[in-house]
This record gives sequence, C-alpha cells and structure tokens, in this order.
Amino acid sequence: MGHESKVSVRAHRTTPAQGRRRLSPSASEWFLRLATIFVYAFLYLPIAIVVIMSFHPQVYLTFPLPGYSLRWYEELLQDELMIRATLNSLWLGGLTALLSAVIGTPCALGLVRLDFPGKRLLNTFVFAPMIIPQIITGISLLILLNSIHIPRGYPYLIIGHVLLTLPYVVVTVSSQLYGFPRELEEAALSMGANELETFFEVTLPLIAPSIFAGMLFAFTVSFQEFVATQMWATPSTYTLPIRIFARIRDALTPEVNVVGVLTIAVSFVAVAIVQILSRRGKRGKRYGI
Amino acid sequence: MTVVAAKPNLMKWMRGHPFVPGLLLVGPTAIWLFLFLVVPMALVLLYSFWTYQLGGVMERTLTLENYARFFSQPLYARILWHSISVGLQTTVLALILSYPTAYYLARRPSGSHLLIFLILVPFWTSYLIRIFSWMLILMERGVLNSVLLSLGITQEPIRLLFTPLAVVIGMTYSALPFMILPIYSVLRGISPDLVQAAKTLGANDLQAFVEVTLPLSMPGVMAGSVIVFIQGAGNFLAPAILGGTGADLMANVIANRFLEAFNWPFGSALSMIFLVAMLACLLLANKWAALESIYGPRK
Repeated sequence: MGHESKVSVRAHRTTPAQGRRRLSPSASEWFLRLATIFVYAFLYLPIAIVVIMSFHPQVYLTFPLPGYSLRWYEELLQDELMIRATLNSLWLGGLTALLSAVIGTPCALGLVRLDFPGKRLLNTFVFAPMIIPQIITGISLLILLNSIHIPRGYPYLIIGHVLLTLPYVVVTVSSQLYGFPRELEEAALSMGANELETFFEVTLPLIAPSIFAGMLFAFTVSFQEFVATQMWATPSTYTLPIRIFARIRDALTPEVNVVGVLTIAVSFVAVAIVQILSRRGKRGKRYGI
Repeated sequence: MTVVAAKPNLMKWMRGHPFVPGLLLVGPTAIWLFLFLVVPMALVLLYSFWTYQLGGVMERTLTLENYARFFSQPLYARILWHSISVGLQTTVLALILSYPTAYYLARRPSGSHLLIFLILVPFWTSYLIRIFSWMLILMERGVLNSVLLSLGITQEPIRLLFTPLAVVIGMTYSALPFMILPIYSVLRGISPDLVQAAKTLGANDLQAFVEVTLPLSMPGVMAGSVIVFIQGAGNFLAPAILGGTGADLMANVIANRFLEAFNWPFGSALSMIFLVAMLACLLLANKWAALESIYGPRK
C-alpha cells in the first residue's frame, strides 16, 4: 500500500515534459521490467561463463569447474602463436584505425557540409561494407588482388580492414558534425582566418573526440574481424580471431577462454572511452554555444 | 608571404567552383570504395561466368554453366533457402526479445547511460567469442546440461550442440544489441506529446501503443531487422562453430569453394546468387528502413 501511494504522488507531479514515465507499475510495466531483466541476463550470462571458464584448472572444459586456477593465463604467456597473432592484430588494428580516420574524416566533412554530384550515391555506398556479408567482401578482394598477382597477406589485410572500418569512422564523425556550432567557424573567418586555418584551428579540435571514437570503433572491428580476414591471411600473417577459430575447431582448451576474456576487455574499455568522450563532447558543445 | 597570399586565391577559386572541395574531401573514400569494392564485385561477376577445369585450369570463356549447376542441383537451392529461413527465424526471435527492452529503455526519463552502455559492450564484443560462449553452454558436458542434470530434469545429457537450434540460439543472442539499439533510438525520438494526445482523445495505454507508438517505431524495427537478417542469412561463424555437419549456410559453402575446393568460378556464382537474393530482401524492406540508425543511438 505504502509503495503504491508513493508512486501515485509522483504521478501527480508528472509534467507533460516528463510524460515518458507512466503512472503506476501496472501489469504491462511488470512485463516490461521482467522482459528487460531477462534480456540483460541473456546478454551477460554467456559472457560471464567465458570469464568463469577461463579459470578452469584442467584441459577438458567441464562444468561445474573442479577448481580455479590461473594456469591458462600462464600458458597463454608461453604461447608463441597466440602472442604473435595478438601482436599482429594489434598493429593491424592500429594502422587500420589511423588510415580509416585519415580517409574517412574528410569524407564525413564533405558529406555533411558540401554539395557535389553523386553525393546521394556515395552516401548510400559508404555503408555498403557494413551491410554486404563479409564473406562476399572477403572473396571479392581476394579475386581482385589475386588477379593482379599480389600474394595473400598484409596488403589484403590492410586494404580490406580499411574498407570494412571506413563506414564506422564516417558515421561517427558525421554524427558530431550535424550538431556542430557553425558560429565558431564564422567567427574565425570574420577575424581573418582562411578556410584551412579555420579547419585546423577551430573545426578539427572540436571534432577530434568523434574522430578518436571512430578510430576506436575501427580498431575494435579490425581486431575482431574473422570472416573476411580468413580469405586474406596466410599462416604467417594470421590475426588473433583466425588463431582462436583454429583452436576452437582443432584443440579446444580453456586457453581460448582466456583470449576471450582479453577480447571482451578490449571492447569494454573501447566502449567506456567512447561513452565518456561523447558525454564530454555534449558538455563542451553547451559551452561552445 | 607569397605562399600565404596564394592560399586565399585558391580558396577564392574554390568558392567559384563549389563542387571541387566536396569532391576533394570525399575523393579518397570514393576511390577506396570503387577500387576495392565495386571493381572486385565486377570481377566476381566475371569469374562467375568462367569455369574451373580439373587440374586447376581456369577456362576463360563465358558460359552459364555455374548458374545451371546451382539451379539443377537441389542441394544448393536448399542451402540458399536454409540461409534465408535461418535469417528470418533469427530476426523474428530477436525482434520479440528486443522490442520490450528497447521500449523500456526509451521510456526512462534519463540516466540510462549505464543500461545503454551494457547493450553497447556486447554490440562491440567479438562475434567469434559470443558464438563460442554458446559452445560452452550447449556442450554435452556444458553449462546447460549440467544444470538440467543436477535439477533432475533430464537423466542423460541432451544433445544441444551441433543442432540447428544451437545455430539459431547463437545467432539470436549475437543479434540482440543490433536489434535493440535502432529500435531504442527511434522510440526515443517519438514525442511523448503524441502518446499524450492519443490518450486525451480517449485511447487507453494499449490503444495508444498500437495506434501511435508502434507504427512510429517501424523505421527502427525495419533497420534492426534488415541488419539482423543479413547477418543471420550471411552468417559463417554460428554454423561453423555451433552447427553440426550439414548445418552449412551460404557463407560456409562459398568459403569452402574458395579455401578448400579452389573452385573460384563456382564460388563466385554462388556469391552472386546469394547477393542478388539478399538485395531482393533488402529492397523489400528499404521503404521503411532508416539504415543510418543501425549504428546506434543518435545524440
């Protein structure tokens, strides 16, 4: 009873602006809450199991665990192949992020700010690598580069990963450009700066957070891409996901879980940084205007 | 000084030719997409009309042989249909699970940053690891079987891994963030005043939802469905890890033609057929889809 009355008091205070909040926890409200709790549990249970299994003390992945140990974390540190694949993925992801940002940022500027022939077409096409099944992207680049006699390996990986990650940079940067305070640029221009100076002194510093966010996304996508990458990599250029997949197929040990935990940690940190950046960005915008 | 003077002149010239700076800015991306996506696609199309002869020789005369082979062997048509069907099943399941959550999140006044963050983490977590996690759950001595056995619901471990069901579960699980985020961002943009207006005019909660909120949220539903469908139908990892023999979808068959059978022309024909089938599905949905919103919530 007490709970209900508290809710109804709050309901009376509800202004139209707060209309998103419903009046009392009705049956539909409980359904929504339960469904949401179920979905969050469904999302995180498998991730939790990967983390738990990474502490398995034995070779065979049984559940419940007979005990806990850091054995497979230690084994990973001794695993030449995994370490090489990890380093490979790290620098490939870094280079991909850098190239995608250099190529994609001007594209976002052009698409948001300017008009040119074929703009609509390009606007659609930029998203193609996100939407076309990766297997198709994988085999088509394989056919192209193979037909000009480039052996599989780094050229494929770099070109392909930039292709796959460009949309993420373009979307992230243009989403910040749409809400950009143009007055600041106009002020710079009226005080005698030319367009280039204005870009480097005013625009670039203000959109830097979104470029960085786009790079983080590009890195994450590149770091985890498997389907197209299997078409491009050779054993000496194997990336981490290719190595993990081979382990899953051939000799599944708890070590795979350890790598899984590290992968999850990478995306966790990346998303956290982006979230913090985007909130900072909003605050900055308020001061800017 | 002369250099500084030259710059404004260039700027002035560009202002007279408004297309030029636009083309310069988008040029690198356009060239990249053209060279490494459009041209390769054209090559795949060309390859699909060539044939592969035993002994690894490529016969470079144009024939429809590969396409004839696809349509004459029911196996391939079945795999294509199976891919589309798995894609549809995944989409429907993900939609049913995602809509209530998206709705709940969108109605929260503010401060749901943490809840959105918790959706974004799996969104950006390796697809491979997310699929693999279901292997741990569904294995013969995995998590689910051990729970079922200890509760006495079953006497023997049931076969869950390497079944068609496992593939759909894994895909649906991985699809959830891709479905929740676009629906959430569209719902978030619907003005509460509209719902309020419907109620003022006499609609109850359910009527207001069915008549106002649901139709207005369709762009998000379509965007999420399109991406989940394409991801499901074109999936490689879920059938490869969670499916048994015979679980192969189009992506697995295509990969096999390129990496193991080395029959690139037939693999190319399979790719073209698959792509056309996907495009047909996409065009059907394109009317309502706000494809930009697949990426995540708008700020």
